[in-house]
Amino acid sequence: MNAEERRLLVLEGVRAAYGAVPVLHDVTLHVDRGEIVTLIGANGAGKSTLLMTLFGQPRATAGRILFSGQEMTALPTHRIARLGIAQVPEGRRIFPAMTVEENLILGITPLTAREQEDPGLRAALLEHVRSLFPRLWERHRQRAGTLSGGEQQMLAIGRALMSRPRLLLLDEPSLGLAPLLIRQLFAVLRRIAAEGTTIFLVEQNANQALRIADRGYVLVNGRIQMEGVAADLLADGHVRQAYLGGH
Amino acid sequence: MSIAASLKHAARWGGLTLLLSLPLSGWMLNGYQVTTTWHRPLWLAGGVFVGTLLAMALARLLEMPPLRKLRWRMQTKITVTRRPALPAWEWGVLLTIAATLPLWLSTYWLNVMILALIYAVLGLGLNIVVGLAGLLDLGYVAFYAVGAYGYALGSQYLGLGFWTALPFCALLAATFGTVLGFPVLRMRGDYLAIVTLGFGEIIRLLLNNGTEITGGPNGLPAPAPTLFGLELTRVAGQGGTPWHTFFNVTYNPNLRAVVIYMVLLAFLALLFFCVGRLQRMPIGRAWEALREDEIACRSLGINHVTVKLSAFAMGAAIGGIGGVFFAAAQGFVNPTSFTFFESALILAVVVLGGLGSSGGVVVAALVINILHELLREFSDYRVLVFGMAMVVMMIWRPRGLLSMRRQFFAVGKNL
Repeated sequence: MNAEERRLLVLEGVRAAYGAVPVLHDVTLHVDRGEIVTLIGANGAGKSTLLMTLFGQPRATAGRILFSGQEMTALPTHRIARLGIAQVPEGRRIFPAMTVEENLILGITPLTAREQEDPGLRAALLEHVRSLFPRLWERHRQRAGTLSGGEQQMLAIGRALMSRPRLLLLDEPSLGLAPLLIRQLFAVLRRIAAEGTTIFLVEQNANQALRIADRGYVLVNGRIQMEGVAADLLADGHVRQAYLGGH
Repeated sequence: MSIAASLKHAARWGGLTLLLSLPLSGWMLNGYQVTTTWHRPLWLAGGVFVGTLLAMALARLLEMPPLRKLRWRMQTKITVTRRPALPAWEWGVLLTIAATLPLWLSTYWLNVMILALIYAVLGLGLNIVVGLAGLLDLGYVAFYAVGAYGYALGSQYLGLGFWTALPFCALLAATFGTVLGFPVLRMRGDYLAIVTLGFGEIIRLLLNNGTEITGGPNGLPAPAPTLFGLELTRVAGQGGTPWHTFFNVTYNPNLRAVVIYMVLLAFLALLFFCVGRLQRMPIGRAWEALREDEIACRSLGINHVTVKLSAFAMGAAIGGIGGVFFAAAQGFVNPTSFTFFESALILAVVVLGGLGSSGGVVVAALVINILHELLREFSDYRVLVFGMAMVVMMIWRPRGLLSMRRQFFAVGKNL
């Protein structure tokens, strides 16, 4: 497989803005199949906007976004979700009044109608989530709003995995979680990647994110300022100073 | 259940009805003597007996292979482990009792019941929009008006009958719902409420001022329904045969109300069943998810445009059917029946019953309408009492009379 074919997600010179306020300036990055890539950066650097732009909210004003070689810059949001990209949105955004299981079943919406109606597939997908998050499954009849923050995050990830995505986008999954839970969460992410799902992880918790990632990008004021192998970034003086509370 | 067991079951309920209805409607005080009339209690008991048998036969029929497949599909292959609110045979009993009501209700109360059932239908329709999809619609009466006027105008200009008007007006109202849906898609909460409120008023004003077509404030007549081509009026129109001439019985002015009541009841039962299933189908889940979090929905690949439009159209279609029944029952439509107060009343039915809860909506529709009639003597203060009841409800039962219960799923062998 050459480099071109390995690329799962490619952003070329993407710009995005909220009204008149530009947020992203010529962002170019790529995620290869099977990789864990992380995007780190300070508050307000445009990390979440980048993920939202992938889903067309806001739309890129310039540049191209390619998924698996296919142009998706101008596709409507719900069509993008059906390409095989699943998003775990910032702040989890689960459906609080619905049960855990209903939340999970909503996750199969991106699949084709035929796949959605296949009971065997549905059972297998639920079983997969159960194996990843046994604690969550114990509460599958509970209203999702009554779960703890960590459980809600597990639910958001589980819901995204129900569509068997090729690319999993995560926006600050460690937000507001206890340190022990964060470690567990990252262990699960590594397991998901080992099963063959490519992961693009946006994190403020740069230290943890770079530890599980293959490569990383550093976003500063809407521009990619550094990129490289995760271990190198972790060792880099500038990065340590700016994002890792470095000494 | 075997035939013998079914018969025993039905006989038990028939006997119970006989036991109950004998003192209620069989014993009559005649001067100083109590006379026992058997025919009424026997009719009631017979009705319950036959009804129970029919209900069980229907349940049995649904178990048959071709129908079971259909039922299976409607259940979306998920086994519901929790016992439903009422088991099937209790539904049968409830329906049978409701179906025997015309036998002993006076014309006046029968008409009250018809109105109550119309409100139940409207409540179920609005419940889809407000309770499930979470779109606050203050102009729901517009679709009700579209249905009622669709029938009245359709019969006047196109010669539409009651039975053709039902699907026709449902489609017409759904079209209106979609038309309204497009511009309001981007709005949420208060803004949506204001636009729908305006829409409701626009439709009413159009009907009021389009004097050449709609008759304006003078209204329009709406014909009575026909039954298998037989008219239910005393004198038939051109070329028609009145029911009583055909069967050679004396004319019963109640018949129109009874027929509308029965058809309405059957429709309500069907609607109730369908709404319950819809809630468990992917589209119903999408409605609820949209109510909970629109952004999350879109990230999951739910097309919020079609989902919102489908909720609007579905609610509107049901409102339109309610309008047809209303026009047929009243025999006359005019714009004063479709004021904002009606919208508020239907919304009150939904909120009182419990957002998203079909059973609650039906109960609330009955309670509000029957209360409305009982409070007729205080008609000046009716709205006041009504408002107080709402406040009390919000304090004690903020989730409605029967709050919505979540369906519980289990990973069964079918999942």
